[in-house]
Amino acid sequence: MNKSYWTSVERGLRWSIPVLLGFAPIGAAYGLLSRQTGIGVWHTLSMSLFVFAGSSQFVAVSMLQNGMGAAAIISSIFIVNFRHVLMSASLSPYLAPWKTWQRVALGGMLCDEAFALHSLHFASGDTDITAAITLNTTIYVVWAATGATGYYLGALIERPEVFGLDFALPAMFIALLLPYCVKRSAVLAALCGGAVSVALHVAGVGGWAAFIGGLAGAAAGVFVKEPETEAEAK
Amino acid sequence: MSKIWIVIIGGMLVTFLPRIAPILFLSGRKMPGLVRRWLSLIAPAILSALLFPELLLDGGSLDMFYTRRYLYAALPAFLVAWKTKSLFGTVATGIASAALLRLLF
Repeated sequence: MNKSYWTSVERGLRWSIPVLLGFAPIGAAYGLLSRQTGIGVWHTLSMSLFVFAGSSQFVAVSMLQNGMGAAAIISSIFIVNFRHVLMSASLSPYLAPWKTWQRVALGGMLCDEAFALHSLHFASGDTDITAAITLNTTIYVVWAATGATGYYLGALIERPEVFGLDFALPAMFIALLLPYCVKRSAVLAALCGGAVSVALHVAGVGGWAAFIGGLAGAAAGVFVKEPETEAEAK
Repeated sequence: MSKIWIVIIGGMLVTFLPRIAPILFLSGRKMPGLVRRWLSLIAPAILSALLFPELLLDGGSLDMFYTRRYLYAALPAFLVAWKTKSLFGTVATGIASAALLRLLF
């Protein structure tokens, strides 16, 4: 691929637009919640920069509000975010030629949506390093910035659901999931992963749902015989 | 050190390590075909593990799942994703449908 650096940056920026549409209101809601909990603005920003995990940050802030201990809060952050170990493992086969700092940039700023995009691109042979890292960095910066902005201005967009913005990320998951559903193994993996996750939420252990659903769903799909899979693997 | 800094630093360690360890240590390793297939199916499995509860559950309950606004907003988004394969088009359709459903019901 002989594209210039800026073309790649532009691709990464373009990919980030739908993600940011979903992230900005959530980031603002996080900032607002954090302020209402009595957490300072620097702590609010630092949490976004260092922890960088949407649902975990909401969990952490509400646990702080309820006066829970640090160990319990850190354990919850770990559980809710542990699904990233699967995402990271799943991307790893494509990254053999990457430099260490590039792998750290890709993994360290990984989120669900960026993972889904990387996964589609890499599987189709598009391993544009600059575009991938641009996507991650843009999401990272905007996530932190909207958290800090929401801290002061969050009340202005307190109800993003009025504009339908609360559905931006679920819609994005739909768009990113469908391209996989041309293979029977992937359809089975998706159905099993979704069912396991729903069951775990209903059982009251929703924190583990994405991790166990992802692990179990992918395992179920492995057993579907698909002759063309081996040919496509390389 | 105040409790919130302990939470932030601890939270950083427990989120950063699971994110980078597999990418750092598995990249370039030879893996059996079965494991490679499993890894390639994680994306669809985990995406629906994140999506299904959003569409079906309200506060962790399946009761009255057919009244969920998200479930119906998902239908036009699904159609657009299927027909156009456009990420932005799907997100825009989803946002518009969710807003419209909220306005109407």
